[in-house]
Amino acid sequence: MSNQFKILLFAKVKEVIGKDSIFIDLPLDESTSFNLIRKLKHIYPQISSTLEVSLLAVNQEYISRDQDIKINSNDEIAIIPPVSGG
Amino acid sequence: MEKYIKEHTLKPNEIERYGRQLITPDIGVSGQMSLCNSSVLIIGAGGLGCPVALYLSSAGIGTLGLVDYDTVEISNLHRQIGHRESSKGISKAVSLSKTISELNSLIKVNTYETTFTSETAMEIIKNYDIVVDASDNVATRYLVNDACVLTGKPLVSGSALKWEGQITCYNYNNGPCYRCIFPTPPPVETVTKCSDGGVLGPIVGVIGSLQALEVIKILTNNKEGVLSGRLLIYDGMSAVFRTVRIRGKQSGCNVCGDKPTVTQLIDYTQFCQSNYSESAGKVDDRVDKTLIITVEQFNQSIKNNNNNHLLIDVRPKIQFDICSLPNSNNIPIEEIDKKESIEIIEKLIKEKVENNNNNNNNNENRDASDELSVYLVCRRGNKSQDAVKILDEKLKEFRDKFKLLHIKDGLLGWNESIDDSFPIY
Ligand SMILES: [Zn+2]
Repeated sequence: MSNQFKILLFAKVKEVIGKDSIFIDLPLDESTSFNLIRKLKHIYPQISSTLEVSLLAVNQEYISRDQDIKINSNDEIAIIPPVSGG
Repeated sequence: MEKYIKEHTLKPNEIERYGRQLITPDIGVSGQMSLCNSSVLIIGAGGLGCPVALYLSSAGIGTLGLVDYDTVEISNLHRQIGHRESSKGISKAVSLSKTISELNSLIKVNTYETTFTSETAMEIIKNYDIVVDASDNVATRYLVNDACVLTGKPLVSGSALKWEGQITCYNYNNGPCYRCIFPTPPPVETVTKCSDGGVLGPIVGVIGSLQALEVIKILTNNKEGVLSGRLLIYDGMSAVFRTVRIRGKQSGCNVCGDKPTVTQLIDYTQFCQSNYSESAGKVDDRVDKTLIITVEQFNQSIKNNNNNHLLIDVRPKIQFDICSLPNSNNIPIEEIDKKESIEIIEKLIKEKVENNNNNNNNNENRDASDELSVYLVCRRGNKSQDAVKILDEKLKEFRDKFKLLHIKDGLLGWNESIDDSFPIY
C-alpha cells in the first residue's frame, strides 16, 4: 500500500520539471517529509541543489527542513524556491 | 469667530488631494499624517520599484529615497512604468523621480545613483523609516535584509519572474528576517534572472502594488493585517494567490538570532557568489582555450568554408524563434545531454563528414582545414560553454572527426562586432 502525494511546484522547480504539479508515491509507512525530498531528488536529480534552498510547505504551513514529519495523502505539499528577480 | 475647526496640520490642498484615502476606514487623519511624515527607501527603480514609488508618492509619503545605479533602456519600458521613452540613457533613479515630481509636487524625493553595497547601505538607510526591496538579484537581497536587521527597519520584500511573484514583510514586529527563511543563498546556477527567464509587466505591477500597500499598512499602524510571517505567492498564469505560513524569527538566525555571527555588513558578492546586479555583462571563460572561437574568427571561418560546419544553437526554443543565424540547428541546453539529442547531433555530424569525404574524393587538394567544425552558440556565450563540455564528453568516440568550438560572447557578441542588425533582446 502506498500514498499518493500531489506536490505543487513553483519558480525554479516548476521551470526545470516543466509542470506546475506532480504526483509522488510513497509507501504508507514511509510517508514522511524526508522520504519525500529524497524521492524527489532521486526522480529529478536536476532539481537537487534547488531543493536544498527551497521552502517546503504542507497545508500552507512551513515545514522545518531539519525535522522529519509524517505526511498524509490529502496534504497539499508545496515546494517554493526563493525568487530574486524584480 | 473661527471659520472652521481643524485639529491637525493637514493643509487644505492635502485634504483635497488625499481625500478618498483620508476617508478610507483605518486611515483617517492620523493615518494620512503618518504617511506625510514618513520616509521610505526603495532599493531598485525597475519593474517593482516603479509601481511601489508611483503609489507611495501619490499616497503622500513625505520622503521617498530611490536607489538605482542603472540607466533606462527601451527594453525596460514594457514593465518599468515609471520611466518614459524620453528617459532613455538617463539614471533610473532620476527618471523615476522626475515622473514622481509630475505626479505629486508635495513630497520630497532623494535619488541615489549608486549601487547599494556594504559600503553605501548604512549611510543611506539610516534616514528612512521603512525599506522596500525592489531589487533584482540575490546579493542585494541578503545585503538589504542584513542592513534592515542591523538598523531595526521593517523590510517589505517583493520579487517576480515570468508569470509569478512573491511578497512578504521581514523584520517587522518581531517577525522573521529573510535569512530566517532562506539561510543559505541559492547556488548561482539555480537562479533564473528576468533577463533569461522573462517577466511580465502586470506581474511586477501586482507585486509592486502589494508592496506599496504593505508599506501603507505598516506606516498607518494597521499591524494585524501586515503580511509578516506569511509569504504570499501569486501565480498569474492560473490566477491563484496562495499564502504560506512561514516560520517565525529563528533564535539561531545568523543575523537576527540570539547569538548573531553577522554583526556588521559583510561582502555579499562573496557570500552569494554573484554581483549586486542582474545584468550579466561579459561571461568568463570556463572551458579550455582549444574549445573557444571568437565571433570574428567564426565569421571568417564560415565565409571561407561555408558548407563544412555544423552550427548548434542551444538557446530555449522560445528565444530561438525570435531570431537565429542561418543554418543553425536548435537543441536547447536543457535537452542536449539527452540520448535523442545526442543521436541527432551524431547523425548531423555523420552526414557532414560523408558529404565532405565525397567532395574530397573529387578534389585532390585535401588538407586539414577541411575538417568539420561543430559550433555551439547561445545568447551570451554562457550556456554554450556548458554545451561544449557536455558534447566533448558525450561524443568522445567521434572526436577525431571534427573540431568542437563554442562561440565566445554568443549572439550578443555577433550583434556587437559583426552584424548590428541582428535583433537582440
Ligand atoms: Zn533572521
